[in-house]
Amino acid sequence: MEHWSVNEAAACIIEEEILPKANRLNIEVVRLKNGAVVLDMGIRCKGGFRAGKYFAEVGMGGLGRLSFTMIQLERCLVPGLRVFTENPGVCEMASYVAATKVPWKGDLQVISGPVRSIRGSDHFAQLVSYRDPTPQKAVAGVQTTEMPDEELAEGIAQACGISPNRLYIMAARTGCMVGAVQVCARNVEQAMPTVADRGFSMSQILEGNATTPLVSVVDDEAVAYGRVNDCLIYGQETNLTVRCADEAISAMLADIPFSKNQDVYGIPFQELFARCKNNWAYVPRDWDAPCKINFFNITTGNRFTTGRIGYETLEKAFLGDGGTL
Amino acid sequence: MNHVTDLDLENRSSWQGALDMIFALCGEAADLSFDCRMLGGDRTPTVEIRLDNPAELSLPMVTESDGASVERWKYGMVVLADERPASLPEGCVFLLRRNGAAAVTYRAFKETVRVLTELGISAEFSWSSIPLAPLCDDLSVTLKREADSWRFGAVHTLWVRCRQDETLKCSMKQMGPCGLLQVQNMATANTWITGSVDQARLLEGLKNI
Repeated sequence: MEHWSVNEAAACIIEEEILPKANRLNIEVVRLKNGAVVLDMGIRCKGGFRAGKYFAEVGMGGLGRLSFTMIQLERCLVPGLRVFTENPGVCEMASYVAATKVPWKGDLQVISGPVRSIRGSDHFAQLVSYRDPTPQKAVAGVQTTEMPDEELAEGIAQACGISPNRLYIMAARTGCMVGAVQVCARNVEQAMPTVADRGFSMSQILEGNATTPLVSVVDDEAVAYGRVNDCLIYGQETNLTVRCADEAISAMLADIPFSKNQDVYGIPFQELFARCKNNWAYVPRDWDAPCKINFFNITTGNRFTTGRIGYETLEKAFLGDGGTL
Repeated sequence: MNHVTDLDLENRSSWQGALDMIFALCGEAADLSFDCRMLGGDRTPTVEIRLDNPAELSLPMVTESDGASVERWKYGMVVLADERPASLPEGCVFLLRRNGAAAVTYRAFKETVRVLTELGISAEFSWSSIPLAPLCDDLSVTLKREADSWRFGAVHTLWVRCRQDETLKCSMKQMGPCGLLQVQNMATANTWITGSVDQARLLEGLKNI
């Protein structure tokens, strides 16, 4: 099969669809001194639904499609989104997952997007054999409140193995429409590392699609961060088409979903994160888990389901201290 | 430059054409789709209108001329008529039958803008999900069904920035019936809701004459 370059597919979407419409997408394009191009999709700019959709589809290297849909919770009808991916191992693990860490401003900034697949140096990229070693252009995604600068571009370029003047960096904070959309679009992604941790090969996953409610777009970064993660651990539902023995699924089924954490289930993520000093290094691996997965085994025709939707927590995240007038 | 798109006067009706028209009328700052919602055991079609710059939009100026309604929006004009008018205004023009699928979709979009305007608080983003009324050769029946679908079936979700929730709540309480209105205040992280989807009355409104 001809090599599909996730970076060049992503750069093509940027150059053909995003840059010509930047103004109407409510985004800004900034060229840094070292030649890297930053797309401000939600730091100083407000972005929107379409910019959020592009952030996700670019991040998936052209192997995923995002559309919006209303989702019925128990009492509320809320905005939501669905993602369909082809070849989820490449689309998610090699590309969209936020996993490569780059030094920036005395700390480490996590990078997502196709640029990770050039070297495939982080843990999740190494779970698939796909590499995109020689793209003409490369694309990174950054969830940050500060505008990417030359230092970050250099860091990404060095870590991933490409010249900064061939790099696009998409950036948005969490507390904006693009931030909410691009995180909630990590719904197929949310399932993958958890099953990989349990020895399930990424090559056995043929197709993935998922829905997530998009309950909250708010200015406060900490609240926004908590609620988008509520959308994933309490609201994401993923369908995975797999090829394997049924036993490979049933053996890990009970150990997969977030709902197995019965001692904390129902607590908003913002509170859970605070218990971990707002630092992912202290977050138990089992807390970064999918909400619900349906496996469809193409070999046997059997279906397996694990996890459950946390309606009450989602509705609380949607309403905050609001309610019906 | 004059650019006329005939959606269904002399051409056959086009659902995609209706979305393309709304996209143009929003200055391309929108994400649009058709979907469906379960209503009384049936999947009822809806138009989903997600606006990235809703504050740019206001209801069009309407003039009647030569048996046609000319509706002037910021980014284009819509001409509703029963047959092609002898003369058309200059600019980006969409021609619609008054009683066609494109017109039902277009009027749902107008209802979205009406609700945004009536709230009186500038929205950062909006998402309206509006059931599409079944067509009837009798235009008055189509219009009655549209009104019922807006009043009993529409769901409007708005994102606004309002320093005080009380100001927002006060504006929402003054709104006339428009289905379910959900407004998320991005400044306070609270969502306020007024109205509801009334499935029974919606189904009553859409049933046979």
